[in-house]
Amino acid sequence: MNTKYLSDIQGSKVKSNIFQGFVVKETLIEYDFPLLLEARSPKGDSWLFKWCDTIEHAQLERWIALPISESRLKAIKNDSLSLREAVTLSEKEFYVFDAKSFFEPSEIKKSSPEKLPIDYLPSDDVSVSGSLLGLKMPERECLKVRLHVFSELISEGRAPLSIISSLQNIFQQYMTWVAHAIDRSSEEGVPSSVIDWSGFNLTSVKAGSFKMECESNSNREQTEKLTKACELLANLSNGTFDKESIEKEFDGIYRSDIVLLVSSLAQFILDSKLSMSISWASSNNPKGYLAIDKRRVKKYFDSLDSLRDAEHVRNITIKLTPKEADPIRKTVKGEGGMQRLLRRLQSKLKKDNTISLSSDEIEKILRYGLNYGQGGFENQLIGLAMTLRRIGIPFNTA
Amino acid sequence: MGTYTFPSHYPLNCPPQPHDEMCGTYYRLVKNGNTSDPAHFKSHYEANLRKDLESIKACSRRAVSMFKAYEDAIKLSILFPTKGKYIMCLKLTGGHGVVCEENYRSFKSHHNWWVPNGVNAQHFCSDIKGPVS
Repeated sequence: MNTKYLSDIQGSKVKSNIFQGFVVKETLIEYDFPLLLEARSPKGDSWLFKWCDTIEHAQLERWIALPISESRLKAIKNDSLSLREAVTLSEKEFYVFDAKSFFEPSEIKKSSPEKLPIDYLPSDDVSVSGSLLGLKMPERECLKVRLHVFSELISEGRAPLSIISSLQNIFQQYMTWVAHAIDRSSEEGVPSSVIDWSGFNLTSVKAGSFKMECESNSNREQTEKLTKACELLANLSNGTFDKESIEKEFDGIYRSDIVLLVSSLAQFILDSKLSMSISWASSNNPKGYLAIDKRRVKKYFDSLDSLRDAEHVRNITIKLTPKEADPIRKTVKGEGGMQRLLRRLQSKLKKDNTISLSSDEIEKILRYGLNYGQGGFENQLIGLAMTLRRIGIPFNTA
Repeated sequence: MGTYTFPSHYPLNCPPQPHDEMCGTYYRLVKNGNTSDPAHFKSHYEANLRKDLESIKACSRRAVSMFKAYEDAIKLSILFPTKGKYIMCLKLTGGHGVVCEENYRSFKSHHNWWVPNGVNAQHFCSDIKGPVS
Protein backbone atom coordinates (compact mmCIF):
# COMPACT_ATOMS: atom_id res chain seq x y z
CA MET A 1 0.00 0.00 0.00
CA ASN A 2 1.39 3.41 -0.97
CA THR A 3 0.92 5.65 2.04
CA LYS A 4 2.86 8.70 0.98
CA TYR A 5 -0.32 10.74 1.13
CA LEU A 6 -3.28 10.46 3.47
CA SER A 7 -5.47 10.26 0.37
CA ASP A 8 -3.93 6.80 -0.24
CA ILE A 9 -5.71 5.50 2.88
CA GLN A 10 -9.40 4.63 2.54
CA GLY A 11 -11.77 6.66 4.67
CA SER A 12 -13.88 9.78 4.70
CA LYS A 13 -12.46 13.22 5.29
CA VAL A 14 -13.59 15.05 8.40
CA LYS A 15 -13.08 18.56 9.72
CA SER A 16 -9.48 19.14 10.75
CA ASN A 17 -10.41 20.85 14.02
CA ILE A 18 -12.03 17.88 15.75
CA PHE A 19 -9.21 17.64 18.28
CA GLN A 20 -9.50 21.27 19.27
CA GLY A 21 -9.37 21.66 23.05
CA PHE A 22 -7.90 18.16 23.63
CA VAL A 23 -5.17 17.94 26.26
CA VAL A 24 -2.48 15.29 26.79
CA LYS A 25 -3.06 13.53 30.08
CA GLU A 26 -0.23 11.00 30.04
CA THR A 27 2.52 9.74 27.77
CA LEU A 28 2.12 5.97 27.72
CA ILE A 29 4.96 5.05 25.35
CA GLU A 30 7.98 7.15 24.57
CA TYR A 31 10.97 6.44 22.36
CA ASP A 32 12.90 9.57 21.43
CA PHE A 33 9.50 11.28 21.44
CA PRO A 34 6.00 10.42 22.64
CA LEU A 35 4.58 7.60 20.52
CA LEU A 36 1.43 6.76 22.50
CA LEU A 37 -0.59 9.33 24.39
CA GLU A 38 -3.66 9.36 26.55
CA ALA A 39 -5.62 12.51 25.88
CA ARG A 40 -8.84 14.06 27.15
CA SER A 41 -11.45 15.71 24.97
CA PRO A 42 -13.15 18.93 26.17
CA LYS A 43 -16.15 16.70 27.08
CA GLY A 44 -13.92 14.60 29.35
CA ASP A 45 -13.73 11.48 27.15
CA SER A 46 -10.49 9.52 27.07
CA TRP A 47 -8.69 9.04 23.77
CA LEU A 48 -5.62 7.17 22.60
CA PHE A 49 -3.25 8.76 20.09
CA LYS A 50 -0.79 6.35 18.53
CA TRP A 51 2.08 7.43 16.30
CA CYS A 52 2.26 5.46 13.05
CA ASP A 53 4.79 6.93 10.65
CA THR A 54 6.87 9.89 9.54
CA ILE A 55 5.95 11.32 6.16
CA GLU A 56 9.39 12.63 5.35
CA HIS A 57 8.66 14.47 2.12
CA ALA A 58 6.09 16.65 3.89
CA GLN A 59 7.77 16.63 7.31
CA LEU A 60 4.54 15.37 8.83
CA GLU A 61 3.85 12.76 11.49
CA ARG A 62 1.01 10.33 10.89
CA TRP A 63 -1.12 9.33 13.88
CA ILE A 64 -4.23 7.36 14.63
CA ALA A 65 -6.72 8.49 17.26
CA LEU A 66 -9.53 6.57 18.91
CA PRO A 67 -11.80 7.11 21.89
CA ILE A 68 -11.33 4.53 24.62
CA SER A 69 -13.49 3.52 27.58
CA GLU A 70 -12.19 3.89 31.12
CA SER A 71 -12.17 0.10 31.65
CA ARG A 72 -10.03 -0.46 28.56
CA LEU A 73 -7.72 2.38 29.51
CA LYS A 74 -7.27 0.80 32.92
CA ALA A 75 -6.58 -2.56 31.26
CA ILE A 76 -3.93 -0.98 29.03
CA LYS A 77 -2.23 0.60 32.01
CA ASN A 78 -2.25 -2.55 34.13
CA ASP A 79 -0.81 -4.66 31.30
CA SER A 80 -3.87 -6.86 30.74
CA LEU A 81 -4.69 -5.40 27.31
CA SER A 82 -2.18 -5.20 24.49
CA LEU A 83 -1.85 -2.13 22.33
CA ARG A 84 -2.70 -4.26 19.27
CA GLU A 85 -6.02 -5.32 20.79
CA ALA A 86 -6.85 -1.79 21.95
CA VAL A 87 -6.32 -0.46 18.44
CA THR A 88 -7.72 -3.27 16.29
CA LEU A 89 -10.82 -3.62 18.48
CA SER A 90 -11.51 0.10 18.71
CA GLU A 91 -14.84 0.64 20.43
CA LYS A 92 -16.13 3.64 18.48
CA GLU A 93 -14.68 5.97 15.88
CA PHE A 94 -11.22 5.59 14.42
CA TYR A 95 -9.27 8.45 12.87
CA VAL A 96 -6.01 8.72 10.98
CA PHE A 97 -4.35 12.09 10.54
CA ASP A 98 -1.20 13.92 9.50
CA ALA A 99 0.16 16.69 11.69
CA LYS A 100 3.20 18.88 12.06
CA SER A 101 2.16 19.94 15.50
CA PHE A 102 0.14 17.67 17.76
CA PHE A 103 -3.66 18.27 17.93
CA GLU A 104 -3.38 20.53 14.90
CA PRO A 105 -3.77 18.09 12.03
CA SER A 106 -3.43 19.27 8.47
CA GLU A 107 -5.83 16.54 7.32
CA ILE A 108 -7.99 13.93 9.11
CA LYS A 109 -9.84 10.88 7.86
CA LYS A 110 -12.36 8.67 9.59
CA SER A 111 -11.19 5.16 8.80
CA SER A 112 -10.84 1.70 10.38
CA PRO A 113 -7.89 -0.46 11.48
CA GLU A 114 -8.11 -2.87 8.54
CA LYS A 115 -7.81 -0.01 6.05
CA LEU A 116 -4.40 0.97 7.38
CA PRO A 117 -1.06 -0.43 6.20
CA ILE A 118 -0.27 -3.45 8.34
CA ASP A 119 2.88 -1.76 9.69
CA TYR A 120 0.80 0.95 11.35
CA LEU A 121 -0.48 -1.65 13.83
CA PRO A 122 1.53 -3.62 16.39
CA SER A 123 2.55 -6.99 14.99
CA ASP A 124 2.09 -8.86 18.28
CA ASP A 125 0.61 -8.44 21.74
CA VAL A 126 2.90 -6.28 23.83
CA SER A 127 1.73 -4.10 26.71
CA VAL A 128 2.58 -0.43 27.05
CA SER A 129 5.11 -1.25 29.74
CA GLY A 130 6.82 -3.69 27.40
CA SER A 131 5.46 -7.01 28.73
CA LEU A 132 4.94 -9.73 26.16
CA LEU A 133 1.27 -10.77 26.26
CA GLY A 134 1.19 -12.90 23.09
CA LEU A 135 0.59 -16.64 23.00
CA LYS A 136 3.71 -18.63 23.63
CA MET A 137 4.55 -21.33 21.13
CA PRO A 138 3.35 -24.68 22.45
CA GLU A 139 6.13 -26.99 23.53
CA ARG A 140 4.59 -30.01 21.81
CA GLU A 141 3.17 -30.42 18.31
CA CYS A 142 -0.30 -28.89 18.60
CA LEU A 143 -2.35 -25.79 17.96
CA LYS A 144 -2.77 -23.34 20.80
CA VAL A 145 -5.72 -20.95 20.63
CA ARG A 146 -6.69 -18.01 22.82
CA LEU A 147 -10.00 -16.17 22.73
CA HIS A 148 -9.88 -12.77 24.45
CA VAL A 149 -13.49 -11.72 24.83
CA PHE A 150 -14.67 -8.18 25.59
CA SER A 151 -18.15 -7.44 26.89
CA GLU A 152 -19.81 -5.06 29.30
CA LEU A 153 -21.42 -8.12 30.93
CA ILE A 154 -18.10 -9.32 32.33
CA SER A 155 -17.30 -8.18 35.84
CA GLU A 156 -14.09 -8.54 37.82
CA GLY A 157 -13.65 -12.24 38.49
CA ARG A 158 -16.93 -13.34 36.87
CA ALA A 159 -17.59 -14.29 33.26
CA PRO A 160 -21.07 -15.33 32.03
CA LEU A 161 -21.14 -19.10 31.62
CA SER A 162 -23.57 -18.79 28.69
CA ILE A 163 -21.00 -16.83 26.67
CA ILE A 164 -18.17 -19.21 27.57
CA SER A 165 -20.08 -22.38 26.69
CA SER A 166 -21.59 -20.98 23.49
CA LEU A 167 -18.25 -19.73 22.23
CA GLN A 168 -16.62 -23.04 23.05
CA ASN A 169 -19.34 -24.94 21.17
CA ILE A 170 -19.39 -22.75 18.10
CA PHE A 171 -15.63 -22.39 17.82
CA GLN A 172 -14.87 -26.06 18.32
CA GLN A 173 -17.59 -27.12 15.94
CA TYR A 174 -16.12 -24.81 13.31
CA MET A 175 -12.59 -26.11 13.88
CA THR A 176 -13.63 -29.76 13.72
CA TRP A 177 -15.69 -29.30 10.61
CA VAL A 178 -13.07 -27.33 8.68
CA ALA A 179 -10.30 -29.75 9.60
CA HIS A 180 -12.46 -32.54 8.11
CA ALA A 181 -13.35 -30.48 5.06
CA ILE A 182 -9.67 -29.79 4.37
CA ASP A 183 -9.04 -33.51 4.39
CA ARG A 184 -11.20 -34.38 1.41
CA SER A 185 -9.53 -37.75 1.01
CA SER A 186 -10.69 -38.85 4.46
CA GLU A 187 -12.76 -41.99 4.28
CA GLU A 188 -14.47 -41.11 7.51
CA GLY A 189 -16.53 -38.49 5.74
CA VAL A 190 -18.23 -35.55 7.40
CA PRO A 191 -18.72 -36.00 11.14
CA SER A 192 -22.36 -36.18 12.10
CA SER A 193 -21.92 -34.63 15.52
CA VAL A 194 -19.74 -32.10 17.26
CA ILE A 195 -16.35 -33.57 18.04
CA ASP A 196 -14.69 -31.96 21.01
CA TRP A 197 -11.17 -31.45 19.70
CA SER A 198 -10.01 -29.74 22.84
CA GLY A 199 -11.32 -28.14 26.01
CA PHE A 200 -10.96 -24.44 26.70
CA ASN A 201 -9.67 -23.25 30.06
CA LEU A 202 -10.65 -19.90 31.48
CA THR A 203 -7.26 -18.28 32.10
CA SER A 204 -8.19 -14.81 33.34
CA VAL A 205 -11.25 -12.69 34.10
CA LYS A 206 -10.95 -8.94 34.49
CA ALA A 207 -13.57 -6.23 34.46
CA GLY A 208 -14.81 -6.10 30.86
CA SER A 209 -12.89 -9.08 29.46
CA PHE A 210 -11.90 -12.69 29.91
CA LYS A 211 -9.43 -15.01 28.24
CA MET A 212 -9.93 -18.69 27.42
CA GLU A 213 -7.24 -20.92 25.98
CA CYS A 214 -6.93 -24.43 24.65
CA GLU A 215 -4.44 -26.77 23.07
CA SER A 216 -5.42 -29.34 20.49
CA ASN A 217 -4.76 -33.01 20.97
CA SER A 218 -3.46 -33.46 17.46
CA ASN A 219 -0.61 -34.88 15.48
CA ARG A 220 1.44 -32.82 13.02
CA GLU A 221 -0.94 -33.40 10.10
CA GLN A 222 -4.03 -32.51 12.13
CA THR A 223 -2.33 -29.45 13.59
CA GLU A 224 -1.65 -28.20 10.08
CA LYS A 225 -5.34 -28.52 9.23
CA LEU A 226 -6.51 -26.83 12.42
CA THR A 227 -4.09 -23.97 11.79
CA LYS A 228 -5.48 -23.61 8.28
CA ALA A 229 -8.99 -23.51 9.77
CA CYS A 230 -7.97 -20.52 11.90
CA GLU A 231 -6.47 -18.78 8.87
CA LEU A 232 -9.64 -19.37 6.88
CA LEU A 233 -11.70 -17.89 9.69
CA ALA A 234 -9.50 -14.80 9.57
CA ASN A 235 -10.00 -14.47 5.81
CA LEU A 236 -13.74 -14.92 6.00
CA SER A 237 -14.36 -12.59 8.89
CA ASN A 238 -11.88 -9.94 7.76
CA GLY A 239 -14.40 -9.14 5.06
CA THR A 240 -12.06 -10.55 2.43
CA PHE A 241 -14.66 -13.15 1.62
CA ASP A 242 -13.47 -14.62 -1.64
CA LYS A 243 -15.97 -16.99 -3.13
CA GLU A 244 -13.66 -18.32 -5.85
CA SER A 245 -10.83 -19.29 -3.54
CA ILE A 246 -13.23 -20.99 -1.13
CA GLU A 247 -14.86 -22.88 -3.99
CA LYS A 248 -11.44 -23.98 -5.14
CA GLU A 249 -10.54 -25.15 -1.66
CA PHE A 250 -13.72 -26.92 -0.62
CA ASP A 251 -16.49 -29.04 -2.10
CA GLY A 252 -20.02 -27.63 -2.13
CA ILE A 253 -21.35 -29.32 0.99
CA TYR A 254 -18.24 -28.46 2.99
CA ARG A 255 -18.22 -24.92 1.69
CA SER A 256 -21.79 -24.26 2.72
CA ASP A 257 -21.16 -25.65 6.17
CA ILE A 258 -18.01 -23.62 6.68
CA VAL A 259 -19.74 -20.39 5.72
CA LEU A 260 -22.62 -21.38 7.94
CA LEU A 261 -20.40 -22.02 10.94
CA VAL A 262 -18.56 -18.73 10.50
CA SER A 263 -21.99 -17.11 10.25
CA SER A 264 -22.99 -18.77 13.53
CA LEU A 265 -19.96 -17.31 15.27
CA ALA A 266 -20.58 -13.92 13.68
CA GLN A 267 -24.27 -13.97 14.65
CA PHE A 268 -23.38 -14.90 18.21
CA ILE A 269 -20.95 -11.97 18.43
CA LEU A 270 -23.63 -9.64 17.07
CA ASP A 271 -26.39 -10.93 19.35
CA SER A 272 -24.21 -10.98 22.47
CA LYS A 273 -22.76 -7.51 21.77
CA LEU A 274 -19.22 -8.67 22.32
CA SER A 275 -15.92 -8.27 20.55
CA MET A 276 -12.95 -10.58 20.68
CA SER A 277 -9.46 -11.29 19.50
CA ILE A 278 -8.50 -14.79 18.44
CA SER A 279 -4.81 -15.67 18.65
CA TRP A 280 -3.33 -18.97 17.58
CA ALA A 281 0.13 -20.49 17.55
CA SER A 282 1.53 -23.66 16.02
CA SER A 283 4.66 -24.63 14.16
CA ASN A 284 2.80 -23.74 10.94
CA ASN A 285 1.88 -20.24 12.08
CA PRO A 286 3.39 -19.02 15.35
CA LYS A 287 1.59 -15.65 15.36
CA GLY A 288 -1.98 -15.96 14.07
CA TYR A 289 -4.30 -13.11 15.01
CA LEU A 290 -7.83 -12.03 14.22
CA ALA A 291 -9.86 -9.16 15.63
CA ILE A 292 -13.61 -9.58 15.32
CA ASP A 293 -16.34 -7.18 16.43
CA LYS A 294 -19.80 -5.89 15.51
CA ARG A 295 -18.48 -3.70 12.69
CA ARG A 296 -16.53 -6.53 11.06
CA VAL A 297 -19.43 -8.96 11.51
CA LYS A 298 -21.78 -6.57 9.73
CA LYS A 299 -19.26 -6.23 6.93
CA TYR A 300 -19.05 -10.01 6.70
CA PHE A 301 -22.84 -10.37 6.42
CA ASP A 302 -22.90 -7.59 3.83
CA SER A 303 -20.39 -9.51 1.75
CA LEU A 304 -22.53 -12.65 2.06
CA ASP A 305 -25.63 -10.71 1.00
CA SER A 306 -23.94 -9.30 -2.08
CA LEU A 307 -22.72 -12.77 -2.93
CA ARG A 308 -26.25 -14.14 -2.73
CA ASP A 309 -27.63 -11.25 -4.75
CA ALA A 310 -25.25 -12.13 -7.54
CA GLU A 311 -26.41 -15.72 -7.64
CA HIS A 312 -29.45 -17.22 -9.24
CA VAL A 313 -32.16 -17.32 -6.57
CA ARG A 314 -34.61 -20.18 -6.65
CA ASN A 315 -37.08 -21.56 -4.18
CA ILE A 316 -37.18 -25.12 -2.92
CA THR A 317 -40.19 -26.93 -1.53
CA ILE A 318 -39.76 -29.63 1.09
CA LYS A 319 -42.12 -31.75 3.15
CA LEU A 320 -41.44 -31.80 6.88
CA THR A 321 -42.24 -34.54 9.35
CA PRO A 322 -44.70 -33.58 12.13
CA LYS A 323 -41.73 -33.57 14.56
CA GLU A 324 -39.97 -30.97 12.41
CA ALA A 325 -43.05 -28.90 11.62
CA ASP A 326 -44.71 -28.70 15.06
CA PRO A 327 -42.05 -26.53 16.76
CA ILE A 328 -42.38 -23.95 13.95
CA ARG A 329 -46.10 -23.58 14.71
CA LYS A 330 -45.48 -22.60 18.35
CA THR A 331 -46.47 -19.05 19.38
CA VAL A 332 -43.76 -16.48 18.80
CA LYS A 333 -43.37 -13.44 21.03
CA GLY A 334 -41.06 -10.48 20.45
CA GLU A 335 -39.78 -8.48 17.50
CA GLY A 336 -36.24 -9.67 16.78
CA GLY A 337 -34.87 -10.96 13.47
CA MET A 338 -35.40 -14.57 14.46
CA GLN A 339 -38.98 -13.95 15.55
CA ARG A 340 -39.74 -12.29 12.21
CA LEU A 341 -38.26 -15.28 10.40
CA LEU A 342 -40.37 -17.72 12.45
CA ARG A 343 -43.59 -15.77 11.74
CA ARG A 344 -42.78 -15.76 8.03
CA LEU A 345 -42.19 -19.53 8.12
CA GLN A 346 -45.47 -20.03 9.99
CA SER A 347 -47.31 -18.17 7.24
CA LYS A 348 -45.62 -20.32 4.58
CA LEU A 349 -46.01 -23.69 6.29
CA LYS A 350 -48.98 -25.47 4.76
CA LYS A 351 -51.36 -27.85 6.49
CA ASP A 352 -49.75 -30.85 4.79
CA ASN A 353 -46.38 -29.74 6.30
CA THR A 354 -44.86 -28.62 2.99
CA ILE A 355 -42.97 -25.37 2.91
CA SER A 356 -41.38 -23.37 0.11
CA LEU A 357 -38.13 -21.63 1.08
CA SER A 358 -35.98 -19.00 -0.62
CA SER A 359 -32.18 -19.09 -0.45
CA ASP A 360 -32.27 -16.13 1.94
CA GLU A 361 -34.60 -18.00 4.30
CA ILE A 362 -32.50 -21.16 4.08
CA GLU A 363 -29.39 -19.27 5.07
CA LYS A 364 -31.14 -17.71 8.05
CA ILE A 365 -32.67 -21.03 9.16
CA LEU A 366 -29.28 -22.69 9.07
CA ARG A 367 -27.57 -19.79 10.80
CA TYR A 368 -30.08 -19.50 13.62
CA GLY A 369 -31.07 -23.14 13.85
CA LEU A 370 -27.55 -24.48 14.17
CA ASN A 371 -26.41 -21.82 16.59
CA TYR A 372 -25.94 -24.34 19.36
CA GLY A 373 -26.31 -23.43 22.98
CA GLN A 374 -28.69 -20.54 22.46
CA GLY A 375 -31.96 -22.23 23.41
CA GLY A 376 -35.33 -20.51 23.02
CA PHE A 377 -36.34 -19.67 19.47
CA GLU A 378 -33.39 -21.56 17.98
CA ASN A 379 -34.93 -24.79 19.24
CA GLN A 380 -37.95 -24.14 17.02
CA LEU A 381 -35.66 -24.12 13.98
CA ILE A 382 -33.30 -27.00 14.74
CA GLY A 383 -35.52 -29.65 13.13
CA LEU A 384 -35.92 -27.67 9.91
CA ALA A 385 -32.22 -26.79 9.85
CA MET A 386 -31.21 -30.42 10.29
CA THR A 387 -33.56 -31.43 7.47
CA LEU A 388 -31.92 -28.92 5.15
CA ARG A 389 -28.52 -30.23 6.15
CA ARG A 390 -29.61 -33.83 5.69
CA ILE A 391 -30.79 -33.28 2.13
CA GLY A 392 -27.53 -31.43 1.38
CA ILE A 393 -28.76 -27.95 0.57
CA PRO A 394 -25.64 -26.01 -0.38
CA PHE A 395 -25.98 -22.80 1.57
CA ASN A 396 -24.90 -20.20 -0.99
CA THR A 397 -26.20 -21.88 -4.13
CA ALA A 398 -29.68 -22.74 -2.90
CA MET B 1 36.88 9.93 29.73
CA GLY B 2 37.78 11.49 26.39
CA THR B 3 37.36 15.14 25.48
CA TYR B 4 35.11 15.56 22.54
CA THR B 5 33.98 18.30 20.23
CA PHE B 6 30.43 18.14 18.96
CA PRO B 7 28.83 19.80 15.96
CA SER B 8 28.25 23.54 16.37
CA HIS B 9 24.46 23.13 16.19
CA TYR B 10 24.44 21.36 19.59
CA PRO B 11 22.75 23.47 22.28
CA LEU B 12 24.47 24.51 25.49
CA ASN B 13 25.04 21.70 28.03
CA CYS B 14 24.49 19.04 25.40
CA PRO B 15 25.39 16.20 25.86
CA PRO B 16 24.18 16.40 29.44
CA GLN B 17 26.47 16.13 32.47
CA PRO B 18 27.33 13.98 34.32
CA HIS B 19 27.86 11.09 31.96
CA ASP B 20 29.99 8.00 31.92
CA GLU B 21 32.16 6.52 29.25
CA MET B 22 29.95 3.54 28.39
CA CYS B 23 31.34 0.59 26.51
CA GLY B 24 29.88 -2.72 25.41
CA THR B 25 27.23 -4.03 23.08
CA TYR B 26 24.16 -1.97 22.12
CA TYR B 27 21.28 -2.56 19.72
CA ARG B 28 19.60 -0.09 17.38
CA LEU B 29 16.49 -0.57 15.32
CA VAL B 30 17.06 0.29 11.64
CA LYS B 31 15.00 0.14 8.46
CA ASN B 32 17.10 -2.18 6.29
CA GLY B 33 19.80 -4.82 6.47
CA ASN B 34 22.49 -2.79 4.67
CA THR B 35 25.34 -2.35 7.17
CA SER B 36 26.83 0.60 5.28
CA ASP B 37 23.65 2.71 4.98
CA PRO B 38 24.55 6.12 6.49
CA ALA B 39 20.84 6.77 7.15
CA HIS B 40 21.01 4.29 10.05
CA PHE B 41 22.86 6.84 12.19
CA LYS B 42 21.05 10.04 11.37
CA SER B 43 19.66 11.79 14.42
CA HIS B 44 16.24 13.41 14.16
CA TYR B 45 18.03 16.75 13.84
CA GLU B 46 20.15 15.52 10.93
CA ALA B 47 17.14 13.93 9.25
CA ASN B 48 15.30 17.23 9.69
CA LEU B 49 12.45 15.53 11.58
CA ARG B 50 10.27 16.58 14.53
CA LYS B 51 11.29 20.22 14.32
CA ASP B 52 8.24 20.96 16.46
CA LEU B 53 10.06 19.41 19.44
CA GLU B 54 13.26 21.44 19.08
CA SER B 55 12.28 23.80 21.88
CA ILE B 56 11.74 21.02 24.44
CA LYS B 57 14.02 18.15 23.35
CA ALA B 58 16.84 19.86 21.47
CA CYS B 59 19.58 17.67 22.92
CA SER B 60 17.73 14.35 22.45
CA ARG B 61 16.99 15.33 18.83
CA ARG B 62 20.76 15.26 18.18
CA ALA B 63 21.33 11.83 19.72
CA VAL B 64 21.19 8.36 18.20
CA SER B 65 18.88 6.01 20.17
CA MET B 66 19.91 2.49 21.05
CA PHE B 67 19.22 -0.23 23.60
CA LYS B 68 21.35 -2.24 25.95
CA ALA B 69 18.82 -5.09 25.81
CA TYR B 70 18.12 -6.85 22.50
CA GLU B 71 14.53 -7.58 23.67
CA ASP B 72 13.77 -3.85 23.87
CA ALA B 73 14.65 -3.45 20.19
CA ILE B 74 12.31 -6.36 19.36
CA LYS B 75 9.48 -4.82 21.41
CA LEU B 76 9.86 -1.45 19.70
CA SER B 77 9.68 -3.15 16.30
CA ILE B 78 6.55 -5.07 17.36
CA LEU B 79 4.76 -2.01 18.71
CA PHE B 80 5.81 0.39 15.94
CA PRO B 81 6.87 -1.65 12.89
CA THR B 82 7.53 1.48 10.82
CA LYS B 83 10.42 2.31 13.19
CA GLY B 84 12.29 -0.56 11.55
CA LYS B 85 12.44 -4.33 11.41
CA TYR B 86 16.19 -4.86 11.50
CA ILE B 87 18.35 -4.84 14.60
CA MET B 88 21.86 -3.48 14.34
CA CYS B 89 24.47 -4.66 16.82
CA LEU B 90 26.96 -1.97 17.89
CA LYS B 91 30.17 -2.72 19.76
CA LEU B 92 31.19 0.50 21.46
CA THR B 93 34.64 1.05 22.86
CA GLY B 94 36.26 4.03 24.55
CA GLY B 95 36.63 7.18 22.49
CA HIS B 96 33.32 6.87 20.65
CA GLY B 97 31.50 9.81 22.24
CA VAL B 98 28.95 10.17 25.00
CA VAL B 99 26.30 7.62 25.95
CA CYS B 100 23.63 8.36 28.56
CA GLU B 101 20.78 6.30 29.90
CA GLU B 102 17.34 7.71 29.18
CA ASN B 103 15.00 5.06 30.55
CA TYR B 104 11.49 4.87 29.24
CA ARG B 105 8.64 2.96 30.86
CA SER B 106 8.38 0.57 27.91
CA PHE B 107 12.07 0.42 27.03
CA LYS B 108 14.07 0.39 30.20
CA SER B 109 17.45 -0.16 28.54
CA HIS B 110 17.21 2.85 26.23
CA HIS B 111 20.35 4.98 25.82
CA ASN B 112 21.18 8.10 23.84
CA TRP B 113 24.46 8.29 21.96
CA TRP B 114 25.91 11.67 20.97
CA VAL B 115 28.45 11.06 18.24
CA PRO B 116 31.32 13.59 18.31
CA ASN B 117 33.04 15.22 15.36
CA GLY B 118 35.50 12.93 13.65
CA VAL B 119 33.83 9.67 14.76
CA ASN B 120 32.24 7.50 12.08
CA ALA B 121 29.38 5.67 13.80
CA GLN B 122 29.26 3.05 11.05
CA HIS B 123 32.60 1.65 12.21
CA PHE B 124 30.91 0.31 15.35
CA CYS B 125 28.30 -1.72 13.50
CA SER B 126 29.20 -5.38 13.82
CA ASP B 127 26.06 -7.02 12.47
CA ILE B 128 22.43 -6.47 11.40
CA LYS B 129 19.79 -9.10 12.05
CA GLY B 130 16.25 -9.23 10.77
CA PRO B 131 13.64 -8.72 9.74
CA VAL B 132 11.78 -9.03 13.03
CA SER B 133 8.64 -11.05 12.33
